[in-house]
Amino acid sequence: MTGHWRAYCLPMPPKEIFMKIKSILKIISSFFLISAFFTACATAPIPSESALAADTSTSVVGQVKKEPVKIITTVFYPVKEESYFGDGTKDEYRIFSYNDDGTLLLKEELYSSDDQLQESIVSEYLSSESAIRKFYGSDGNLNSYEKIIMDSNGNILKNEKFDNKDNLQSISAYEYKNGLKINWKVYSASNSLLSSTDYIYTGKLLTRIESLSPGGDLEEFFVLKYNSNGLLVENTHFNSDGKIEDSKTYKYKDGFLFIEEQHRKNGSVSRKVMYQNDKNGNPVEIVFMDAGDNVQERLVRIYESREEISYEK
Amino acid sequence: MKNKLLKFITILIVLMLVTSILPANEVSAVWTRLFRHASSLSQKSNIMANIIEQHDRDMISVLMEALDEQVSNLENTGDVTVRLKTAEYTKMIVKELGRLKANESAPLIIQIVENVDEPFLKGEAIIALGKIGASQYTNKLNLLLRNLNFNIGDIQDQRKNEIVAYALVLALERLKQPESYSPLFFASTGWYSSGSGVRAKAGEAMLNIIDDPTEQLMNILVDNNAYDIKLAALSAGSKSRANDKNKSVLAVAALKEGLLASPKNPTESIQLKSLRVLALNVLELSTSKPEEAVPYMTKMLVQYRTDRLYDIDEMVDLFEAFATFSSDESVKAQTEFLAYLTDRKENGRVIDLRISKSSIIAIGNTGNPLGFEQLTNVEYSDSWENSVKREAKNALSKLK
Repeated sequence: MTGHWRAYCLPMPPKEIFMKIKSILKIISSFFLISAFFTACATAPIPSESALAADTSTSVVGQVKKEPVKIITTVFYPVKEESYFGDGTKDEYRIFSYNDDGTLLLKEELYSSDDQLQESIVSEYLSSESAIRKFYGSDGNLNSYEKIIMDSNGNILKNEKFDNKDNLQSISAYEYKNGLKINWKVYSASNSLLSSTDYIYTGKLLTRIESLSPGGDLEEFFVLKYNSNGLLVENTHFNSDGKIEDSKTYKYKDGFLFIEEQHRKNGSVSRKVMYQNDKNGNPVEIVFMDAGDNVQERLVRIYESREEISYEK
Repeated sequence: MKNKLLKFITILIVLMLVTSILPANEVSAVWTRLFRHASSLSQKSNIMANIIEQHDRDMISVLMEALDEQVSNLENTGDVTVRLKTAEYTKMIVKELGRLKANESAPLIIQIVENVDEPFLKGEAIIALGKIGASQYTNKLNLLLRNLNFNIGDIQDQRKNEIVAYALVLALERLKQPESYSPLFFASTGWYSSGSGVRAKAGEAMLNIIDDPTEQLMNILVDNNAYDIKLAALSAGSKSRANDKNKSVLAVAALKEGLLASPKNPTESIQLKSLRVLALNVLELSTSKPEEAVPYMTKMLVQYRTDRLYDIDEMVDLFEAFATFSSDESVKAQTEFLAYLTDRKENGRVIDLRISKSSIIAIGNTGNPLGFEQLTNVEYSDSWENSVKREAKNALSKLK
C-alpha cells in the first residue's frame, strides 16, 4: 500500500514511477511546444468553462489577453500482465478492466495458464472520497475487502481491511502535508497502534523514512539517494543501531530505470530486476533474477493509453 | 461524481510526478516487523494478508520465516477449528511463495508436502514446488504419484488422493523431468474419476514434459503384462512429438507384443486386437518403414492362413500397412499370400472380397515388380470375380 489513490487507478509499482515521470514530463513539455506553436498561429484551443470566465473578466482594451495553453497528457495503463517461468513457459496472467475512458480500474483478474480464474479484485467507487476493494477467490466467494477513504486530492487517508465476515483485521492511516505523504500508521483490529512510519523530505525528494514502534522508538530507517536528475539511485535499509540491513540500487538508461539490484548487508547482490521499456518508458518486460542471474520470472506487460486534455494559462 | 473522480485522476498524475516515489522497502519492513511481533494465529493471519497483498519479492524472507514456524509446529494439532485455521494460514504462505517463484523456500515447502495430510494444503505445497522449479524433489513427487496411482489406500481417501494427485500432475508438468513420464502415464490410465481431471491433465502433462517419450514408453510396453497398458503406451507414443522413426520402433514392439500374447478372455482378445491394429496404423502412417516390422506382419498372414486368427477388418488394416512397405521381403510375403488365395479360389473356396481386393491393392501400391506374377495370375484367372480381376489390372499398372 503506497497510501495513494494511484494504487487503485493505475496499479504500478513505485519503482516504475521514476520511468513514468520522465515519460510524462517529455510528453507534457512536447505538448507545451505544440501548444505554443498553435498559439503563434492564432489557432485558439477550445476554451474550458474556466477559461471562458477568465476571458470575460480580462477583456479590457489594451490589456494583454492570455490564451489558455492546451496540455495533452498521454496516460498509459496496463491492461494485461503475463507471467512466465524462467524456462519461458507461461504461468499466470492478469487482466485489468477499466471504465470506458480508462480512468478507473474496475477489476483485476488473475488467471492460470489454462485460463482458469484464480482470484479477482473488484473496485467499487462509492463516492469521490471512498471506495471498496473486494477480493474474491477462484470459487467466486468473497475472501476479504478493504474500505478506502481519500481526501479531495485522491490521497488515501485510511484503509480498513476486513475479512469476509466483516471482522476488521487491520487499519492503515496516512497523513499528508503539501501533497506529500508524511506518515503511515498501522493499527490493529482493536485500534491499538502497531507501527508508525515517518517520511522525511529534502525539498520534494523523499530522503529518509523512519519506522517507529508504538512507543515512538526508532525501529529501522531508510536513506534514499538521488542522482542529479532527481532519480532515486540508492535506498539503504538500516536497523535501529544504524547498521545496514540491506539496500537497493537503481540504474537508468535514457532516463528510464533498467536495472534494480537488491544487496545483502555485506554488499553482495542477492537479486536483480531488469526492465525493458517501450519508447514511452513503460516497462513492457520485467525480468526477475537471482544472484546467479538465473531467471526466476519474466513479466510481460501490455498497455493501453488515453489522452487527458487540460488548459493552463 | 465522475467529474470529481476524473479530477482526482488528473491530480494523481501530477502527484505521481513528484510525490509518489516511495520504495516498497519500508512497507515490507513494517509488515515484517509486525509479523514478528504478532503472537496469536489470528494476528499473524491478519498481518499475513497484508504481506501477501504486496506480492513483492522483498517479502520472501518473512514468508519463509512464517512457513518455518509452521513447519516446526506441525505436530501441535489443537482442535479442529485451530487446525483448519492453521491450514488456511499455511496455505496462504505456501501459495504466495509459489507465486513469487521463491526457489529458496523449497526445503521448507517439501516438509509440508511430506508431513501434512490435509489434501488442500498438501496440494498447494506440491503446486508451489512446481512453480518454484524445485526439480531436486522430482523423485519424491514421482514416488508420491506412483503410490497414489496404485490406489491401495482406504476407499474413503480416494477424493483426498485425487486432490493430491491433481496437484502432483500440475507440479510434475511444470518441472518437466523425463523421469516423471512413467508416473504421469499411469495417472493418465489410472483409477481416478473423470470429474477429478487427473487423467486428462496427466495426458496433457505427458505431452508437455518430454518431446520424445519412446524410451519411457518402450519400457512400459515391454515391462507391463496388462494389455490395456501396452495399448495406452502405444497410443501415447503415437500422439507424442517423437519422430516417425521412433514411433515406428514403438509400433514394431507393440505389434510383437500383440502377436506373442494369448488372450485369456474376450476382453483381452479385444485389447490385443486394438494393440495390433493401432501398431499397423502407426506403421502405415509413419514415413519410417523399418524392416523389423515385416516378419511380424508376415506372421499375421501365416496365422490367418493356418488358424484364421484375425478377422477381416484386422486383415484389411494389415494390408493397408503392407501397402506402404515396398521391400522385396514385404512383397514376397504378400504375393505368397495372394497365391494362397488364388489357389483356394481355383479350388472352389469362397474368398472374402475385401481380403482379396485389399491384398491386391496393397501389392500394387508397393510398386514392386515382384508382385507382377501373382497379380497377372489373378487378372487372367477364370476363378476370380471380374471386380477382383479389375483390381489386379489396376495394381499391375502401378508396378514399375
